[in-house]
Amino acid sequence: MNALLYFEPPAPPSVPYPSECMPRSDRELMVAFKEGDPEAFDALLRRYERMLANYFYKQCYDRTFAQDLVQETFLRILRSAHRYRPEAKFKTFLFTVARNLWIDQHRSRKSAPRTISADTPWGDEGATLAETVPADATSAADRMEHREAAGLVRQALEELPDGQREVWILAVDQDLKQREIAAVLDIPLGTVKSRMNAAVTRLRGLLGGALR
Amino acid sequence: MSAQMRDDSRAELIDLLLGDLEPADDEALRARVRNEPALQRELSELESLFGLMRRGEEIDVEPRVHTAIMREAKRITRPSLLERLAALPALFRFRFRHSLVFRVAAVSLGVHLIAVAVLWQIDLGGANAPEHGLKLAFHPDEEVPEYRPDREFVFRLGRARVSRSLRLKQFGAEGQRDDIRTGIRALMTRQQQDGSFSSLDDTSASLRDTGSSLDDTGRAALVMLAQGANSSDTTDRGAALRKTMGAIRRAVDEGLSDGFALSALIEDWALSYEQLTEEQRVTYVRAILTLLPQVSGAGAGESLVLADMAGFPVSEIQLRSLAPDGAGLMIKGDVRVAMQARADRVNASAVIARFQEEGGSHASTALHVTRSDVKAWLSPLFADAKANARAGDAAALLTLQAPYRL
Repeated sequence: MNALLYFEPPAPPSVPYPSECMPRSDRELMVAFKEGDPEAFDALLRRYERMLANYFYKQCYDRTFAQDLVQETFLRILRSAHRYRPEAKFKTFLFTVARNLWIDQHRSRKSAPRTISADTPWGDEGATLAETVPADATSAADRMEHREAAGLVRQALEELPDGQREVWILAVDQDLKQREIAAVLDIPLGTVKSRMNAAVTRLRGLLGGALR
Repeated sequence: MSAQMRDDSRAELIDLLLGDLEPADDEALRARVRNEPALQRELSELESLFGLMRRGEEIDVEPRVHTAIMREAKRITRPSLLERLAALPALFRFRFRHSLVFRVAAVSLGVHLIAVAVLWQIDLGGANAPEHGLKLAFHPDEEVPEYRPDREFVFRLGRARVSRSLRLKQFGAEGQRDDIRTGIRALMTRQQQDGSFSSLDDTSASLRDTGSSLDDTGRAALVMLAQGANSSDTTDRGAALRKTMGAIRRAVDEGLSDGFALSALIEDWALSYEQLTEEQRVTYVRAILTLLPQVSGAGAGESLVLADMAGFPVSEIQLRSLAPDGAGLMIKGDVRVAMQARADRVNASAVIARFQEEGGSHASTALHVTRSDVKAWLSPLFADAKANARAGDAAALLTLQAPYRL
């Protein structure tokens, strides 16, 4: 008989971690991950994955593309985790990686003709584009009737220049401080503020009716 | 209010809405807003705009994305090989059993060490393995979705080999283990019936006829074993070996292990040792000793030591098979290297000194040694190993497990 040994060391004693009492900070989670705790990264992922997905989604309104970019961003974070320094804010680190990825992908994507499938989910309730736009809807008024606020927002965002849209999304949707946005985009704080101001002006012009 | 003042005020209000103001500035601006209707209107409009824009459609992350990311996170956080090895010595102080295939599974570390035909030791912070045989693999329970060369860890090996169990696991071929055994038996039976194998193809076909599901590599390896064992003609044997090794190397290129058949044969030999006739035992050993240098790249002398390390009772079987007349055994000088490699793990100086006394001062020196010589050389090793084992030396404990302990 083949004698094989399988040694199973005793399980370490269970010590309650403080996180059971209070959530760990991003820094604590990232440090724990760097020290070999994958569950710490899982917590970070759950904290930021949706936020990141919508950061991408609102820039391209392509769900599949956004999902791919979320995955790639976190994979890049994983691969560069050793470079993360606890003194850096994780959220800034995350969005810096995401933004660089977006630039890379967006540049190559721009050269390809953009198409939207009629089956592309559209709107808050996940209806498809085909379902959202009635077959007999011919006038602008009819179409407006079927548009939700989400549609207005989408249209307005798409009207913004890239730089303004980027700042707007990071500030309003992702709740980054303008100083953090400046770090992520690697531009002066004054530029962030002026883009934000310009975006406000433009959005007001686009959404004037809806705001009143 | 001038345009410039209006812009400045709006910028401040945006800062306010985004929570970008210091508490004191925040409070001061709110006080101003309360007192200035124009600012109130502006703030109200901005709040409407921000509120509307925050009602945009949002998406969730698909579970597959989350899963894919976490799979990578777990892979990255898996302890490095060095970390795993550094953590292992303590484990060896726990119970263990000797075996031809010595296996320690450190479950909690996710590492699966398999030492085959080998003695080895682990120092703090690193591992010293002999040139042949230490095979490290991930624990079989780990997800190994596809063959990944970078998941192989072989120390000081010119050619990569992975533990057979991992191979089997990877390729979903656990069932081949029994097939190999069946195949070996079939070959041995045929050899006894026919006296020899006429050709590689015939033998391969014969093996297929046994119903074995072995792939071409497995068949080729078995054929090689049988032919190598069967042929007393050096030329024929060499041709058969070259032909079969070519097949095996091609298989290696395709991701299969060239040690696959060898380890299967060794294991089968060990497992069925008691049931084998003396003639079969000798045939097995000859097949193994023929295959060993081809597979491992070891010289003939080194193969002897490897065989000894694997647990073959060299003094009982090997010498009889290779030198049935008991006249002695020609061991090439490279055995010295292997002996030293082995001795390094226990007591190098004593063995090497003894070896040199016998005339093995040069690597190319051919030596006539007898069975008693081999026993004499090995006995100090085990004496030292026992002493070291009593002193708690984990490597010494391992040393005791491999040879002569079937």
